[in-house]
Amino acid sequence: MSSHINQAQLLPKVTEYTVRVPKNVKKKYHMMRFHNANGVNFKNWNTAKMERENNYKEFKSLDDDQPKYGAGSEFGREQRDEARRKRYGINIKKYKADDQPWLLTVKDKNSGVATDKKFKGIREGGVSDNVAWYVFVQAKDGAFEAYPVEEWYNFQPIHRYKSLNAEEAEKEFERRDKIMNYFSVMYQKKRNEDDEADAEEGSKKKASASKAFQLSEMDDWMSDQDSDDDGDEDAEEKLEKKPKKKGGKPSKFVKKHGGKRRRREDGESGTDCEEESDEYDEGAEHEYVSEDSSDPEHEDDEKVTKEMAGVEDDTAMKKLLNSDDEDDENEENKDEDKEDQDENDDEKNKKKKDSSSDLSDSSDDEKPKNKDPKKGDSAPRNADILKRKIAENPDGLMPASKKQRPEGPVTPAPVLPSDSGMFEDQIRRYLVRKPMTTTEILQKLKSKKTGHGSEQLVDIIAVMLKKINPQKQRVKGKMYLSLKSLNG
Amino acid sequence: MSKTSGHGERTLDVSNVGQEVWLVKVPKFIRESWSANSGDHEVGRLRVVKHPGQRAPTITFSMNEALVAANKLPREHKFISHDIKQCLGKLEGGPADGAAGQYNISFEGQVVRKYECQPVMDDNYLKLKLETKRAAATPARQAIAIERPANVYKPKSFHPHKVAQERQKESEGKKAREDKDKVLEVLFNAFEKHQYYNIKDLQKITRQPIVSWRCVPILTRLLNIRKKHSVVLLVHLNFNFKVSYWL
Repeated sequence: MSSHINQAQLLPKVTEYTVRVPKNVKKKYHMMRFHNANGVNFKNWNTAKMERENNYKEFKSLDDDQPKYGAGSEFGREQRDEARRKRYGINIKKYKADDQPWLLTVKDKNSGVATDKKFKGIREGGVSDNVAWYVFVQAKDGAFEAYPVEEWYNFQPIHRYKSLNAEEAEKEFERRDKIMNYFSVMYQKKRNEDDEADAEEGSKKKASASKAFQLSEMDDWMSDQDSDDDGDEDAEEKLEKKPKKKGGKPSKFVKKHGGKRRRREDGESGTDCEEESDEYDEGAEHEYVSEDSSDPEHEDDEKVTKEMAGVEDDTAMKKLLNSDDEDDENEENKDEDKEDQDENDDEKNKKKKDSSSDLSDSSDDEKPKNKDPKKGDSAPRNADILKRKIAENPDGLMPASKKQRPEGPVTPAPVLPSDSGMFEDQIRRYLVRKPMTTTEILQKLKSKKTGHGSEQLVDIIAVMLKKINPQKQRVKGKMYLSLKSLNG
Repeated sequence: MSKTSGHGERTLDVSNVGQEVWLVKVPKFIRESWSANSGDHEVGRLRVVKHPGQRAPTITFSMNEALVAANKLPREHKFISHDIKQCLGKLEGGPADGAAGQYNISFEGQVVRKYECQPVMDDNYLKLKLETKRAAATPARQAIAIERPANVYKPKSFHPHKVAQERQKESEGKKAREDKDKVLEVLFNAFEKHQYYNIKDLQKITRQPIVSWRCVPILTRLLNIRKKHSVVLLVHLNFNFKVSYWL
């Protein structure tokens, strides 16, 4: 109706279309459904291929439990099964190729490289009887043509992940304990492939690239370790002789061997963290008493030997705990030793392995020495004597450790005259109270924390024992020292 | 093999990718009337009204008069638009007659609008609904009274289909006892093919009377029973015989 407002604006625009349902349509129509998240744009499709998935083998293998001929087969089984199925009315559905899922491969227009996108389209089963879907297509004359949709397919993308082939997998498997970051494994592989492809361009960024991409220092150490992996196995046995070996990585920092120090001066920081094998040091006999040894190194030795002595004492000296005044101190010590014991357990086992072999070797070596007069003046001689005494113990740990330290320290700390009296008194007291072995004496004195290293203590004890000259008895194969009290 | 022939790779013709298509959900009765439509006639008219204020046009569909009159269907319908949450594409499949084999498939278009065709709720439609429900509630099978009694079958001794079988049996003749060696050879040949046999099957193969099976001691040693208390007794060769035969 007329109004002041412009009628043309108010009037809604009406268009009418006719809808036709064409008959005799030869084609069937299906719907393909893609998820929005996959980012599928039909207009980008360059070429595409579709095929039905071939599940025929799987279908057949469901029936294939029994062999049809040869061993295990029955005569007339198929006929009997068929007869039974007919009797009971069991229907086995036949395999239809058209019911299998679609496999769609699409080549995009935009992507230059042939990165085919693959999809799998599974038929949806839920179209009910009450609903019918029609597709309205606008024909050229403006009319709509309605076509019914028969089936719906849900298409999902298929990913194929790159995997390592057998050789690469073996390599990585060897490193499996050391790899921290698994993502970089495949990334490195990809980078290497790219670099090989670029090799013609002469890019030599491989080395720097791998360094640039190390996500932690561990990566750096890994790559260095790879080169040393071969050396590891050879050196391992020899390494067991080095008491410096400790389990676990933190201990590597503690190690400051002369050879390694030299390496470090070259400017490579990664070598600090390597495991024991060093081409430089491989096979070399290690002298702990080198003139070049510095104090920190020496401290390390003491620290290590202290721990080792603690282990030995732990196992050998349990009877001490019951009978002494220094019970508290002993327990303290034992606690400390227990902590160390965990670390040293593996070493202990290794040492035990070696000790048996070493014992036999060393006993041969010691024999000529035995002929020498026991009463030597120099402290090193006494140390040897003491060690020999200890060596005769069947307690295999102590001698093994002593053996690993070749020749003993060259410059033992001088026995201070002021201390010696104190020690002598103590030792006398112990021996009067009850017969002890030398190891026991050593442990007692160590627990005193006199500030001497265990080697020094050993020397001191040797000297004292020489002075005291206790009586020696052999009980259960161990040499016991005792002092008869003067009072009777 | 016809079973696997449908697996071949076909190119998807994507020339029609740009075509825009509407997807419409129609109720059952419309589908039935449309599919029954014999000619290429018009089934209805689509009226698109675009109001200036509104963004989306309202669409109504009115069915053809002839169809409405024939099936008592509602005439006016609304087209309710829905959001398309996924990418939908229209794929043209194979021939409608369902012939197996290779056929080309093409991509017909992308769905841009999705509608639901809903009839306007007037009395006519509601009546229709009521009737369909009533029809659905009635059972498919019904009991009806019959006037004449049902057929009675009495037992027979002569059956025409058995004549042929009996004739064949007579032609084969009696089973005669043959030499032990020959029988054994036949047996071993049979056991090469399958491991387990029924005694009846063995009898059929060797054409021996069944009595001889039990009597001949070598045969009892020859054969082993698979599962003694199962319903079907299957026999297989004894281990010793297997070995000696193969040697």
